[in-house]
Amino acid sequence: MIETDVTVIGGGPAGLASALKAAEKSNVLLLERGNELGGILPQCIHEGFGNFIFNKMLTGPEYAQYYINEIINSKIILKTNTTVLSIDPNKNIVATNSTDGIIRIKSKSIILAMGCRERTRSQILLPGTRPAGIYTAGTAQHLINIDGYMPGKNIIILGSGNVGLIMARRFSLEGANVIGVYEIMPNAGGLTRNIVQCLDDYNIPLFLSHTITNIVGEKRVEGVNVAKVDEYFKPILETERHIPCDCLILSIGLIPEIELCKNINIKIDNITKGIIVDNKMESSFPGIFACGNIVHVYDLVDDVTYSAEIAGKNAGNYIDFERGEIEEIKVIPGRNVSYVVPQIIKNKDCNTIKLYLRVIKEERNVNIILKDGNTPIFQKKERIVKPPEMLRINLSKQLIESISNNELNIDIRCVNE
Amino acid sequence: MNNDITCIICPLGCKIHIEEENNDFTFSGNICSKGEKYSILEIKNPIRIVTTTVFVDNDNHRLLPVRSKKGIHKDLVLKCIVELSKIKVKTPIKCGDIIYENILGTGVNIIASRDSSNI
Amino acid sequence: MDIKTSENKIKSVLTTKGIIETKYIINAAGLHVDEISDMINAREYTIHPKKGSTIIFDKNISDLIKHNISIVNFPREEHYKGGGAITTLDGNIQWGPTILENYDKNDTSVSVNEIDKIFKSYSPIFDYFPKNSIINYFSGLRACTFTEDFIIKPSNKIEGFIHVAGIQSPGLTAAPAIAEMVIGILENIGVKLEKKPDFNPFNDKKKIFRYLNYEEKNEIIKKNPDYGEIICRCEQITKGEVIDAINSPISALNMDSIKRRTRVGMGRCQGGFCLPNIVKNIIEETGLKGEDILKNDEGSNLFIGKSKCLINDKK
Repeated sequence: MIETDVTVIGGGPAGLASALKAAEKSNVLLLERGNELGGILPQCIHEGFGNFIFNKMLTGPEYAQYYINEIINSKIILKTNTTVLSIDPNKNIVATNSTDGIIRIKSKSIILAMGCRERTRSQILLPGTRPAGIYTAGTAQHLINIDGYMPGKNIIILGSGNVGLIMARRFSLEGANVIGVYEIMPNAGGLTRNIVQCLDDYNIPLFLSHTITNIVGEKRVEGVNVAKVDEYFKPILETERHIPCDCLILSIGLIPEIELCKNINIKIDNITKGIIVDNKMESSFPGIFACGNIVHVYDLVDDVTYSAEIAGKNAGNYIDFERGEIEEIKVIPGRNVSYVVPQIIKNKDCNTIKLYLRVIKEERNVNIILKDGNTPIFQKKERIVKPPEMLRINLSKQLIESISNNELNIDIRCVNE
Repeated sequence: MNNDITCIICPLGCKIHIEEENNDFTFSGNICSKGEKYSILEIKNPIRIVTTTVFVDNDNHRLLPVRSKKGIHKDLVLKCIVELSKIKVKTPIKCGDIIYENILGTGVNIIASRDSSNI
Repeated sequence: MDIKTSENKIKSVLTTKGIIETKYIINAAGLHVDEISDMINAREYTIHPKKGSTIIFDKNISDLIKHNISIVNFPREEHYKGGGAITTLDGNIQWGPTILENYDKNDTSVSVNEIDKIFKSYSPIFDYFPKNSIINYFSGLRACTFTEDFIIKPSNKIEGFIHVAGIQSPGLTAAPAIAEMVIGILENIGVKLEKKPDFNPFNDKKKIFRYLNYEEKNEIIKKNPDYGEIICRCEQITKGEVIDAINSPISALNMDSIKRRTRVGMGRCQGGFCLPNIVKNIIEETGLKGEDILKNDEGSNLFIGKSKCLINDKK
């Protein structure tokens, strides 16, 4: 039995930053199932990380290296190649690795930093055969950049999320022929920057309102059928055409990896599919905190780190006691708001709060309006809002203290409405 | 020369068209001055950070991620990648170590993106 | 590849791995029994495959049904039990199978129509099932004959040739009984079968990590540390189990066979996370090259080569 103040599950960017922050005041145990720290970052060899935290553009491995060095020089107890098998309602953790066997851990607080996983072919019901050569974008990235294998030569990418765009460029740089990126939505799923620097720079075409209707090939992928879709995302059969290729890359979304929470009663957000948190990054289960992509999928690793530092600080300060009723403000997504994180504000003792929100559809010249119940208390103008670009709102201590209702409603409205 | 630029400064992603006459630029399609600055840079000297991997020691499986310390003209990116695909570097290496000096005579060094331990 | 007979008696079988001399052949070639029979002009039936597709759900919703539920439609389709919502032994719920005539014996693709059909028949009953919990869908082909019944009998044309054809549902359940029946046929046609005195019908029970309690888990890790390392996080499969499959007497050397033995990659991520690790294990245990590792059959290589293998072609 290991006893500690804080156990951090997951050694990616969220786990690393939260462990370091928590270790300023507490004993910390960090568990990572892989053989090295950094999570997804070591395979993200492209630059574009750390613009806010380090004020420069770093590659994924560089960003991770900074935190890994800090961890190695800290008192944090680190166990790699260690997988958590279960967490019970008494916050007991059972984990396993090859040197210690079954490890039982008792800790005062837990930080969940397990990140997310990729959606697979089945989740979008992609029909056809089941040959070799179909990979999710993240797996392909791991294969090319870490393991040293090329998944294919003539590549079709389904989905224009950022990982898919980054992989379009990576495949091109590795000498493969990227035939095209197909996106079912009428707008690209990734950031403009990535459309320009990953597709336009390499003359890779992006086909909006298109999807794959069939996968063909017995042993390896031999081709796919693609078609335009109508406004209900149904393929228009007359537009279906066959495109030969030997590899299909799927970049069709990420889902928070919450499965370890199944034995503890933690509330999950229906939209983000992640853990519901308050402004301290504490889940609905007292003493269990969450940060990074297990809460919602962030655009930038810098924001993952910010969320982790909040979780780390509060988990490090966590004292187990009967809390009674704490006043809660629910943050409620309204017009053209898909979700807001944190979903709950605990009023009494907070500093500034950063709200993250995503819109449902693209709109121009809008106001983001915060309402204390029905009374507008804050307004921020945006020239454009679109689903791939996360919005951030900073709430001052003053503003938070002024809220008198137990609901904070957020709407996005066009300026002339 | 490509005179149509998609601006990446903000999420608007304006399609900017540029006309040049005697080093005088006229813009259309943009809505701010930041876009003008960006598009001049993209026309005159479009640079990109080159990132790729190089083989480590004599092992055809272990890869070290590397990057260019500064931006390199985007037309040279593929050539850099070809050049870097031929080399094998000796470990141990620390994050930030120079892997390749003055690539293709650009004056830009290629540096390691991580320590070599654990790869 | 071919069968040699002389005077209407079996002589030998020509295979891709050499010639086997034999007097008896049990033709249990499933979808291909008719083609095998054709080799010696002993065909007494034709296989017309019927495709069945099923949808598999994530284990985390297996609480949604407690019993196997079958759907009975009227009028009843002939020779089709109707499928249902079934919990597999491993705890996944599956919907299906469907039934559909399919002339191509190699076509196990799942079409949009099949998926739609499954949803149309099951969604009205199980409207609370979350669609996003589907982790995979498969189809297989039933080896049906036109009599729609098992054909288990000696050939009436060639001596020593036994038909075991048309085995469709409940073929798996019936397999032990079919085996005994075939033994009876062999004895009837004069084969002397003697029990080997040293025959051991028992396999050692495999240790399945996820079913052990913590004490048992600890014990097995102390004996073999590889059992302490989880390779497949979704299904909690250990490196030890994967290595056992690779090194077993009938060794599993490709992704699908290791998957079938151990369940790696059968979970919600469908192998996205564990594939690189399994490749590494195969290389370490067998010395195979990564680029030679297959998904299943010859030609289904996972990769086309090493990273950078295409860079110099393009220059």
